[in-house]
Parts: sequence; structure tokens; C-alpha cells
Amino acid sequence: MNRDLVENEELELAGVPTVEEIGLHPLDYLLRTERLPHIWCPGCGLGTALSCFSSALVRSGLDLDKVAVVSGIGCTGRVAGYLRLDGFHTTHGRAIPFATGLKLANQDLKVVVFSGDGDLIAIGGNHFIHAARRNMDLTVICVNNFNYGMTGGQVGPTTPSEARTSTSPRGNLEHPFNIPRLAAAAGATYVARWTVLHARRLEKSIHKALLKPGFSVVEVISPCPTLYGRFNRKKYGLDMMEYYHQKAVIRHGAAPWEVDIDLGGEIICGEFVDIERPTFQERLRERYGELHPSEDLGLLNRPPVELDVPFAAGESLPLPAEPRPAGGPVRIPSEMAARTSTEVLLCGFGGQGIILSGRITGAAAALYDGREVTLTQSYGPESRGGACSASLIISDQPISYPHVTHPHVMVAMSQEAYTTYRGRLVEDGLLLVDADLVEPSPDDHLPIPVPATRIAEQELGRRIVANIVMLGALTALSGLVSEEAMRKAILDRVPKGTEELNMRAFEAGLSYAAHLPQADGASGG
Amino acid sequence: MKLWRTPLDLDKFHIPHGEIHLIKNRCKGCELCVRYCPRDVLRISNVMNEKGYHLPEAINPDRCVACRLCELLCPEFCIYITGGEQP
Repeated sequence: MNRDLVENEELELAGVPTVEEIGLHPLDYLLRTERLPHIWCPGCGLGTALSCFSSALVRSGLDLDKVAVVSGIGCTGRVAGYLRLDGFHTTHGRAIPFATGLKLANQDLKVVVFSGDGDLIAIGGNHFIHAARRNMDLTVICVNNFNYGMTGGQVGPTTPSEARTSTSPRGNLEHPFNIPRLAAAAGATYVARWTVLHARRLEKSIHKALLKPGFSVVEVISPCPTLYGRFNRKKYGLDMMEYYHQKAVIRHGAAPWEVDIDLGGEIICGEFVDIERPTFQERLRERYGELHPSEDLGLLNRPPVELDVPFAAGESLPLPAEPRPAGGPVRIPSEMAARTSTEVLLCGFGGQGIILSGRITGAAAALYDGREVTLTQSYGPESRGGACSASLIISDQPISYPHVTHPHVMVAMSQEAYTTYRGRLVEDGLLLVDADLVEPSPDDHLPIPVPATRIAEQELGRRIVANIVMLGALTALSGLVSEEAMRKAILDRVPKGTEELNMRAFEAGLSYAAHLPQADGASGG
Repeated sequence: MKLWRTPLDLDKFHIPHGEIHLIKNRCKGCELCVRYCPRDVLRISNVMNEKGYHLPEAINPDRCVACRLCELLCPEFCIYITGGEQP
């Protein structure tokens, strides 16, 4: 019956044909499309910065075989991995020294350093100023999101005074670096700053920087809604973009010492420095004539090094093994079926609250039902959208091995999770899936669809409580944990001020499950 | 945009028209294309992709002039425009 509901909901998009095929977007040929969608959060500005950069690169007419992109560590460090160009993902802070070596050894290359503020200005700060001082022929695109994004939103050297971050909850005490001032003072030949909202101007500016001889720096102000934004009352990318819309002013040629960014103050954008200065390469040529160290040392004529892992030239690095196909359920020995312990696997993508659901279920069983519980969790580096799972073992005896191999109870909140883990579920297991997000294979009759996301969105008004709706359904259908224990555990663990909403979500899940015709026979717990 | 009079040289200009396309499963529902479309062509629909994000849809596709701002702003390489060339 739930399937019918879903089919009725399959609305056509008005006026926008959708396509499944990749390679159709005009920039796809520059991207490693097999890695898309990228790991950046919804509302993150890095995708826009990458789009402006790719677009500028195409316009600049540079030979793409002679362009190399070097990134450091962090969210922005992923850029080099998404571009179908020669790229290198270096160690933390060392993007500029690596790029310097690359440029010195092969002077025909156009070397671009694309990295974040935490990488270039914090741990790599010294490399940054010295490369600017030498006027190395590099283009540096520094994406500034005002905090360390990938590691949890800690205060960084560009965090504005008084801004809140996870490690400055009462406001930052320090003064931030002003990147254009630092670059200009150290000797950069081209310095500009734009927000990602100035997409066209940013594109033109990157274009100019790519063609400018010497050390050119483009600072890109980019939203980090998940961390910096969330701590500073702008938790959606759109809120931060609106803020840039209101506060950004364009002042070309402004003195770099006047373009500090204060919390709540205006963000001065524009081209601040555009000067001519002999580059390191020019001075090298002046003294020693045309130098090609790689040719002089015979490096270019050496036979290629045999790699341990062979992969053809032009092919990307070997991808992880294929996900397990959704095959038949695993048959388990009958003595295991008479179990006193239950293995539970909750899976979906980051941001759905999978880990929190695991913690709540575990706490309910351990603290309020008095059983033995282990919880292991697995998630990717992404803050939103990556694959994510929580594995629980709930038992009457002490548990000696916490790894879940063949779960008896499984909740899949995404298609990817369903495809990956379906094969591990025991034959008579209990499988709950999100009705709108998972399309089970047609011969699979086990899944019980629960429209948790839809109930959360339409009945409760907040999609973030979809996990609690699902927990309600799980509690009712599995009988693993008592309802009372779950209520207590939820109240303990949800953020303050959302207790009432989460309780309503739990009740909605319970009552949905109570009205299911399957509810009596499907218990796996 | 409302014209208070028809410009005398209007016939000299060709107003380009673009077709909007969407690579469905790349969208993360950030709404930048909807908010910053200068011609208010798009809005958020009820249709979800496989990750549960609501996709944009065109309420008045005829107004698209292929400025490609959505294409440049989209962080996901998801929305793109075809057509719009000058004759």
C-alpha cells in the first residue's frame, strides 16, 4: 500500500527534463565524474568555486595538458581529486612547496594551488609568504571559509574576532589574518578577493590570475553552512549567500590594509593589487639562460617507473570493490537462530541522524532496559551526504566481539545503504526502509517501507526528525527495546528545545507502525 | 521586466532562449539556482531525488534567456543550459 502512495507522489518536474547520464554538463569533461556527487555539504561554496575555476580555465585557452593543480588537506584539498587534470593532493600545508618544485622542474607547466585557508594560511603560512616574496610563478586560489571545516569547525587564523566556532563558543578572542594584506605585503603581483556569489567576477578574476606572470592570489570567500554558519546563525548556504549579498561591496584598488573582515561588517571585494615584478623564473633565466632541469638531468628520457599496482595511463586510480549485490539473504546455522543477542544495523547517509539513532537505541537498551550493548559506527570524512552506519549488538550476556556480521534487524535510510548491506541480513530478519528514498529490488519481499522522511517533513515540518520517526517504527515492529526506555533515551540525547518535536516524531513512528498490517508477523527481535 | 514603451530598435536585438536540464541525482537542494535566477524561472518542487533533496522545477521556462548564472553558481554541476546562441 505504501508503494502505491509513493507512485502517486512521482510528480513530473515542470519544464526541466532530468537526465541520468553523465558527461552532458558542459564542464563534465574537466571533471572526474565518477566521483560526483562530490563530498561537499549542501550549500557549500566549494562547488561554485570549482565551477568558476573550471570555467575560467576553459576561457583562458591554456593547454590543459600543461596545467597542474595542487591541493593540500581539508575540504578544499579535495579539488585536485575532482579535476580531470594532472593534480596532486599533498600533505597538510605543503601545497605551495610541492607546486614550487613542480614549476622549477618543468617550467612549461601552469601550476595552480587550490586550497583552503586552514591549509595555506595556517600550517602553510610560511610557505605562502616566502613563495610570494620569491614571486614564484604560481596561481594560488585560497578558499576562505573562516574555520577548519573538515575537522569539526575549529577556530582558525582567518576566523573573524568574536565569531563563534566549535572551539571558541564564546566568540573568538584573536585578530584574524587579512589574506590580501598578507599576500600584498609579502610581494604578490596580483591579489583579488571575491565571494562565491560574485561568480562571474570571480571567474574573470581567476582567468586574469591564471595569465598573470608571478605569484597571483585570489581569495574566495565561501560559505561553510554546516559548521561556521551553524555556529553563527546562518545554517543554510542560502543564508550565508544572502549575507554576502547584503554585505559585500566592490572596491577595486582598495588598500589591502583596509580590507579586514569583521564579524557583521562589510566584505570588501575587488582587485587590490596588480603590479609587475620580475618572477623567480625570469631572474633564473637572466642569470643562467634557458634552464630545463628535468631535461638537463635526463629525467624526461628515463623509462617510466614500474608501479606495483598496474593501471593504464589516463585511467583513474582503482576504485573500491563493487558494493555487494542485493543477493538472497544469508543462511545462518540454526543454533545461531536461537539467540539471546540481536545484531542491529542502522544505515543511510550522513546528516540523517543515523549515528544518533544508534546512540539512542543503545542507551535505551543499556541504561533503561538493563541489557548489554555495543555500538560501533562508521562514516566518511563528509559532514553531510556520505555513507554512514551504526552497528549495535543488544544481548543478555556480556558481548565479547562487537562487530556486526549478519544483522537480524536492519534499517536502511538510503538506496546506497540498502544495496550495500541487504545481502548481509539474515533470512528471517526485519528490514525497515525509507519508503521514498529506497526502491527495493522487485523480488525482495522483506522490506517494510516506512515513509519516515515524508512524515517528518509533511506532518512534523522538520525533516531532521526522520530518524526519530524511524526509531518509533523500529521500536513498535521489533520489540527490541521498550517504548518507555526509548522515550527516556530520546529525551536524554536530543538537543535542548527540541524534546517536544522529537517526542511527536517518535509517537508518529509508533502509530504508523501500529497501523501497518504486517506489524504482527514481521518481528525479528 | 516591464517596458514602459517599446524600444525603437527592439527588432535589432535577438533575445536568446535557453533550455534547462538537470542531472537529477547530483542535486543537493541548496536552492541557489532558484534564489539567484534573475528571471525567476525556477522554484523548488515536491519531487525528491534518491538522496531526498527537493529538485528545482521551471515555473516559467519560456522566460529563460540562457544567462547561465545557475550553471555557474550550481555547486553540484547539476543544472545546465543548452541553446541561447545568437543566430
